[in-house]
Amino acid sequence: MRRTGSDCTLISWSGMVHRCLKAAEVLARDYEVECQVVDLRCVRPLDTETILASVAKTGRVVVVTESWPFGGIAAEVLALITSEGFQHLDAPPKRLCAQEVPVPFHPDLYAAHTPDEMRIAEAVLDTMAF
Amino acid sequence: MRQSVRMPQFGESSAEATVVAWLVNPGDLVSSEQELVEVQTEKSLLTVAAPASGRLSEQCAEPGKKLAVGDILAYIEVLSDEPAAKGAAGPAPTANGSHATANGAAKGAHAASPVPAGVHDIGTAPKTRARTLTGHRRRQQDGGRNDGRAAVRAGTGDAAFISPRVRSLLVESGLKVSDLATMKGSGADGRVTAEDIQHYLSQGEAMSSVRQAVANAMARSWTRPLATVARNVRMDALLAHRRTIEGRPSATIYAMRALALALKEGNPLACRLFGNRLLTPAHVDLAVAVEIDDGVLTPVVRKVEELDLPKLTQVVEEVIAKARDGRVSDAGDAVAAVSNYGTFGLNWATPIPLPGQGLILGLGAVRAAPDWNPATKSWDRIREAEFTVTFDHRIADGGAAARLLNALAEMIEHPERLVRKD
Repeated sequence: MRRTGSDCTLISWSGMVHRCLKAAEVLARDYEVECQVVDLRCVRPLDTETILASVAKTGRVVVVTESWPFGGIAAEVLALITSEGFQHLDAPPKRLCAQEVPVPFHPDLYAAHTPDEMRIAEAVLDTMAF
Repeated sequence: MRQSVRMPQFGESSAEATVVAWLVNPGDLVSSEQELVEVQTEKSLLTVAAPASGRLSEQCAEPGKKLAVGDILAYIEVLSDEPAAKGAAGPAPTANGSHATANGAAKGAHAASPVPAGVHDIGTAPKTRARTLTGHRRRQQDGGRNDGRAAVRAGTGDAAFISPRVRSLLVESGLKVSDLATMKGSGADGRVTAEDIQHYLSQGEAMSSVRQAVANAMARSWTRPLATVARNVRMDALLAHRRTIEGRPSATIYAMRALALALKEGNPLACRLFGNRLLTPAHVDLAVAVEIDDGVLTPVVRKVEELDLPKLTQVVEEVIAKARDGRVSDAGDAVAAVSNYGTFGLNWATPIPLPGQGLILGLGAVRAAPDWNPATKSWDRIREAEFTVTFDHRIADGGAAARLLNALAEMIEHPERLVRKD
């Protein structure tokens, strides 16, 4: 748990945690949305207790990964949340992943490929608007 | 962009509504929240308001047509570039694309890159943020404005949505889905959120555990077909007789003993119903309704038919005293209950039998009444009380209840028959 909040849970690991924290600051400052940022630290074993406790608190969740969406860890986390924390959900759980294209080499394209603070904030606002 | 206008959910109870009259003609300009059409639900005449501003392009239902909740009423051609209610949640793909092109052209660099369409999103991030901001704030304002309005804003198909969190909160707090209709929703599309429910629940104070137990028992009991029969019973003989008995038993004691003996004679109401099987207990166990501070307790007296009047008086007094202290040593199964609502001055009432019990005997207040005496051709002053039997109509019919009540009245009017002959 890197940041506490009561509106939405942001789950990520590794580099994306920092972007999530930045996005959470923007959301708190500009949109009055307080996010709870969960850093998984380790994906296997998965810290199911922390994930489910956070979802139980907020009812809304966005999982952020710099990997592709198909068959990934984000999907695994969402599967956990929907099967074991369904009764806590207020909005469809969301994941924010990389574009489904080969990882580009050009820095601009790479920046476009991976989720950034603005897209994380946007995803959270979408979830909040549900 | 074409925005559908759907039949909204008017409270939880109505699943459909009938179109009565259109207030706007096709081709007319409409503003958001403007009343479009009158519809008739089972309960009242209501109007549906526009979800967005634009031109009413199509009316999809003639007056008189019945539509289910969520069916399309009309289409609005949204004219302004402001996204419609549903579009605000996620930027519409076409609108997003045009922004991307404009933004990309301005920057020059991205416009030249042959990149997949989605990648343009990054260039539009500030733009998109602004759009999301307005969309986000607008929704909240909508929720606030919508409160207490006469016209129900047309749903975008999910106004009646209950999130899993809200649903589990409903179960936890003992509310029903129909209770949501009375709450103000502060969520998107006027949805009721978990916070709304918590606010709703914070208004009152918690029911005491006794009250909750009574509420649950009565609600469970009310699922059965119940019927009540009543008759007057002369009480003179009983009131004279009780002075001769040790402990001066009350009318309740006489009634319990009479009921036990009447049931023992083989009345079908002596049965208890389990699924579709009738079981006749070997002994007549009777519950006594005892009013306490915040509810009713029903301690059980076992083998009532074997207790004579003085013994029964003693036993019943004990269980009532215990119940008033909040202690019930035996609240188990019984075949029937006795309620002396006459102590409140009531002439008659229709008490509800407890779950698992087939009948409840009610005793009204004793009052003076005239009675025609053919021998002296005059009115005699007698004392009588109304006795009621409320019974589970699945177990037996009115005839059996009447026979039970008559047998009981016969014994009350000849109380010497209630004294055990050893």
